[in-house]
Amino acid sequence: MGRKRSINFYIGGILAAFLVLMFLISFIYVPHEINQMNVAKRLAAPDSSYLLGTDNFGRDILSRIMKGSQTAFFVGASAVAIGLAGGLLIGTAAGYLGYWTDELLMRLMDAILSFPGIIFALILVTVFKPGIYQTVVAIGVLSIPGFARIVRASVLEMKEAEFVKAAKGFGASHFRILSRYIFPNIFSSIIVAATLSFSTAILIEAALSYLGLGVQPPHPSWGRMLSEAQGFLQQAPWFAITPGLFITLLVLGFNLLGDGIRDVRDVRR
Amino acid sequence: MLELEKKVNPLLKVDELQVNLAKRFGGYSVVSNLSLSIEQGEIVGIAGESGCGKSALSLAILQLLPKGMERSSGKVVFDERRIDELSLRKLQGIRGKEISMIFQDPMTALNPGLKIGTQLTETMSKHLNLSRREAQGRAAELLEKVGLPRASELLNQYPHELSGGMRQRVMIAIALSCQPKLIIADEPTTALDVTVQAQILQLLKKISREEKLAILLISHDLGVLSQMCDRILIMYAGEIVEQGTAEDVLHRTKHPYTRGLLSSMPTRDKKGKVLQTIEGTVPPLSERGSACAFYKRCPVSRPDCLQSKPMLQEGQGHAVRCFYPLVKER
Amino acid sequence: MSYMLKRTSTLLITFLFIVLLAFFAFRIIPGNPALSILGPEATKAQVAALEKTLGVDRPLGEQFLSWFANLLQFDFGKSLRFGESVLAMIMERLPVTFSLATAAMLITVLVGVPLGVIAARHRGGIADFLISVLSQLGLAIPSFWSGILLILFFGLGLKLFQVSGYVPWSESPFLWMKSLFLPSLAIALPQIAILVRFLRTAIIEQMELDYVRTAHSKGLGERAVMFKHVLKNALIPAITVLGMNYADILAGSIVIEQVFALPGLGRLLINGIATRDYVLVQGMVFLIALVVILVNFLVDVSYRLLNPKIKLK
Repeated sequence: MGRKRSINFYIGGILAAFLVLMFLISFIYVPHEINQMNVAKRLAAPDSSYLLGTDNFGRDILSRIMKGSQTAFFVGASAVAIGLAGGLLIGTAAGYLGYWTDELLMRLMDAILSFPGIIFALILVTVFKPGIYQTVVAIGVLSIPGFARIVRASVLEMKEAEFVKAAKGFGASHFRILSRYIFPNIFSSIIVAATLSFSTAILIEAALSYLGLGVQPPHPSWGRMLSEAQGFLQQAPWFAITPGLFITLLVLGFNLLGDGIRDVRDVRR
Repeated sequence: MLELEKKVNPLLKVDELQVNLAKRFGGYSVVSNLSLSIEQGEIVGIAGESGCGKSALSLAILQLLPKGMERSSGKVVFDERRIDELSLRKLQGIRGKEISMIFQDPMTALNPGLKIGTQLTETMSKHLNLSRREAQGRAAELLEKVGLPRASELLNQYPHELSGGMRQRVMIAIALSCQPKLIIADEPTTALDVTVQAQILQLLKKISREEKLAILLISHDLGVLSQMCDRILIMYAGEIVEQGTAEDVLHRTKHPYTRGLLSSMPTRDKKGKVLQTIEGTVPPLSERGSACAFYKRCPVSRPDCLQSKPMLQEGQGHAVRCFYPLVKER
Repeated sequence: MSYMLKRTSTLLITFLFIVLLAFFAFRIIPGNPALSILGPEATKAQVAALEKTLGVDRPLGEQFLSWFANLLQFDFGKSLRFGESVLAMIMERLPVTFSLATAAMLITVLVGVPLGVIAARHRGGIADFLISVLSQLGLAIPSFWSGILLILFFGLGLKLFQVSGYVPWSESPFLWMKSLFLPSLAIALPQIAILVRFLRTAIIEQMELDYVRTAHSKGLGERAVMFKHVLKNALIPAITVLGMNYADILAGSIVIEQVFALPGLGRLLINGIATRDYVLVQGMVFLIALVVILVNFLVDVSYRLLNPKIKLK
């Protein structure tokens, strides 16, 4: 039983590491310039020069995928950051202040949660013209309730804990109590929630970009590449397979990683 | 001639039954080479503290042991058939039909999501091939038999709508539904109020006498067994340490453990006196070795009790597992 | 009692929140909405005329109230782009999306429940492992990609299904089903994964309970125990999951309708957003919010009804 659990962690870790590696390398090196069109070699099958083939403009798919990882990680990480920050704020306020603040904030969180993410993101994205920052904000707001719940639960737990009462007893400020005692204890739950939030962010961004309402050119996006690829399914199936594959691997990696961390933490408890 | 026949063909005969924990939990012995027999219509009781293996024994008979335990050897013969080596399908034909079980907590033993009627009739549908109407009719009869009026109302209710005593009566009705020859009752009254306990026990005894139904009654409470049983077995650390007729075991007690159990029962004649207890606790599974398991707690033990394992010594139907059995009458 | 109150208040807040968001989202856009609709070449007169129609010259609060009042009378306004009644446009496309969602739901249940039972029964075994792997994949694969892959494989490769377009039931029930099969499958995949995971846990939990031992002691076979006892109890909480599934399915159909070029509500919404036809979008968002609220409410009610312990009196 124990073996199966850590499998999640290791496989997830390997996948995530592979993609992080690609992400990091993309800053220093990509095989071809991503917007360089090679009309002669449009929709070419993978070969020695274009390892994953070319798209309908003759651009190298591998390079675009590598740069696309930058978009993916940027959107994912920023969305998680926003979600975390907002969640910490709201969760702490709700847990610490209690009563009406708690009720109101939590009802609001439930409201956001009960709605399918993409619809919410669509509405938010249409307020401003579609673009990468707008996408980030939209998905970030979506991630807040998840974190808020965890933070609130831990704050409530800790509020009643003996050592916090003791700290209050000798005059520790609210801020000190929060930072010294409460936050360190929710670390692992936050990490797990972060990995899952990251995956969700990736999927929503990909869907938005596929619909043309997410990240806009010249930023490359795996989702948008898929929508471009759809018109050329017969001529260049690899064009449609590759971006989706990378999305899947990234999401799978972080999902498994999150599951793995949760399993390890549960065993410890 | 008839007496002899009776002795030769008991209804249930358990032979050298060995139940162990699964290997991954250490493989320790839970029930050690235990043998017992039950005659038709006889009420046999098994007493012991928790951890002595009595529940495991009861489950092993119908092969209902949980995943962490397994029967590693021994024979179980019921009605002259070996039921320990039956295929699952044939075993299912016996469960609920010839041998039924009653469990301790009727709230959890009954399915909270199904109506009483359904839970009663499904056994009959399976074993007796009755139509729905016939089964429901019989179900109503059974409920009345166990002392539950307003049967038709009851059939449509859910377990949580009944009191504990009523639920246990329902369990008894289910157990009786296909006219079994043996009922194994594992602590049937432990989860009930004292007043209800007496009623349930009376009911069981009455049914046993009327239907010539054998009952294997398991309890940690010797008081319960003293009211009900023809014969009593005392279990300790997976073994039988004393067995005989109720009269023998309760009044001509031979084993120090039995004596301890009896002394620690609160009864009227002990009013005002300090209640005796047996010091110590049942040894954990890993510590049961090759000597007398009761040694550490025994008030009359002697050093040579540690030398080897005492065997069950029988004399006129009254057996005891002790090197120095008590001889004084109570 | 207080539970229902809480739930209703949450649902109401959600509803209000979404509706307010939809309405004000377009009004907060910097710049003149009329101008952005008509484009820079419009004359001042045209802009003024459109402004009047849109009612943007009135105070915001008034606009909202009049819009809401109209809504309650089933007047969703006229689409800016197409000029048609928004309600009419919605009704036209409703059957498509509805059939899609229903088909996806059916597939989810028909595939998810057996897989959940198998995974629980063979817990720790190979079947369980495989199902677990498939679940993880189901959750990670973006639905539009699985849609594309299905088109690639079944549509173009094996030429079994058409790759796009919708055939109404009235034209040919068989072709109607065919046109919906791949899209609903694509939507259903992640939902199946969610359902299987949940059901597996729920069944395993039930199997640990005492009443299962009682059922076995009565001589009931494996099948009877699983289906008549365990599954019944495990499916009740699964209703909540199915409710969530339905909302996700509606969301998924928005994207999938693009992939398979189905003339449904999803596509209408996307077009509306892309062309900034906010009258249309408002109306649709209102409708979606309504449906989500309704589904949540229904799930709550049916859960309470089905659970014998807390039947509504």
